[in-house]
Amino acid sequence: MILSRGDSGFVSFLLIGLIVWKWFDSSVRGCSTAILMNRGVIQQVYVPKYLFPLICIASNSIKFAIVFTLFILLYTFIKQPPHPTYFALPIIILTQALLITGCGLVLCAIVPLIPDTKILIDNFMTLLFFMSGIFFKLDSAPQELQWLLELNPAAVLITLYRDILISNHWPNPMDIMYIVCLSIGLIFIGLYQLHIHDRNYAKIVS
Amino acid sequence: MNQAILEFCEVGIFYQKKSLSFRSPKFWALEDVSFVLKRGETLGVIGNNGSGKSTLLKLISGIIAPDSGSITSYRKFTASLLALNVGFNPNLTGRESSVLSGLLLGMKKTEIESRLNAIETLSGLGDFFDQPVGNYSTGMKARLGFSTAIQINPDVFLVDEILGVGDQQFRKISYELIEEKIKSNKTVVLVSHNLDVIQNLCDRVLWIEKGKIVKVGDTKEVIDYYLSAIRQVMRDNHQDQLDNTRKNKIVC
Repeated sequence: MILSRGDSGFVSFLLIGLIVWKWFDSSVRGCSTAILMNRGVIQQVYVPKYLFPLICIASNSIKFAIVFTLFILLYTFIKQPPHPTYFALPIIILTQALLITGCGLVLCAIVPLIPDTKILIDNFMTLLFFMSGIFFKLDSAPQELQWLLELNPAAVLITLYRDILISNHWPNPMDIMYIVCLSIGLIFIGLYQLHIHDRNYAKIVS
Repeated sequence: MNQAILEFCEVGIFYQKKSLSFRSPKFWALEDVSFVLKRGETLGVIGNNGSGKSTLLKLISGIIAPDSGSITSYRKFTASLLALNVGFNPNLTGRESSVLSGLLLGMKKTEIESRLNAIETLSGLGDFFDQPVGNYSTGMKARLGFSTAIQINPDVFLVDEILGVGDQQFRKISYELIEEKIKSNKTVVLVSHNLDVIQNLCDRVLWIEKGKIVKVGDTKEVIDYYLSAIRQVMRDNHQDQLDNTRKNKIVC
């Protein structure tokens, strides 16, 4: 069908990838500029800086919740009825929320300190978009690139969603553990950086 | 009255521009600044442009932290910084900005909402009150910031040059309201180039130049010292000009 990639199943395959990616991409990009966008406020009154990325993540999460619920309703109505594996969806959604929070906090802390990194992040996110298996199955990629794709947490997450929704398989606990551990590490680094630079940002972004 | 609420001890702060490939040298905006801010006093801050006055206000409000020295806070207080072009998200309306400012300074949403009409009236913004702040002029932002701060009523008012902004009517109202706050024993730190305003409103004055305190003390004493120093600088400049003119004539 679309892009000459097989049957009608490709539409749902692609939509799952896009919806999940959109939540990740818009939240992470938003977090990277969260302090810069609120420079007016942080120069008027002291506000703990971790609040800005959390607000950004919350607003994008609400958008994701609406779109994803609509998708699930249409998917179960048109494509296939709900399956017990759907009970694993909240765990995957929470795992993704953790990953977004980790990446968001780190980038939120770094970008105001070194503003040039914003350009790098934009390009990196575009590269990641094409390396997250949104348009293709990870196991259909060249063998020598497999390890790289499997290290990409966004690609792993998208595969987990597809396992549940399309293949009706229970998610691999090791994949979830990998993302959770990575996210906790990132959250720790991000919060630490935001803490040590908390009262420097108003000086830096002025 | 006159209990210390904040003490600066040899405070220094620097600015440094960083990028991936470049790091500028450190510029010390303030160095070895020591003074005490007392409860209920009105402290004037004077000095040339770039002398560190606005940075000092940001340090008092706790928005930024010093890079050297220490700031001791003897009691918990809320401080609102009133300065030009700061404090607002351009995408929010004036009404939303007022609510946000109130929430950030610890007020309840219902409490700040009950004062929105008073903020709207005082600011004189009319229909602009429901327009995004990005559409405001500098004077309109100053009006909104001032009206919001007056209604929120923080423990310490930090006023950075905004008394000289806006039309005659707003200047008069803002001056009167600040005067009222001063009379009600509110702690006010006032940055201004207008020495008449400083003389009329302040109990003490801090003169800061190139990031260092030149003199701090009684208003009249510091202003007299400041004016005599300025006269001396002007005389020196005039003398230099005369010397240069004489030299040029001799060369010719």
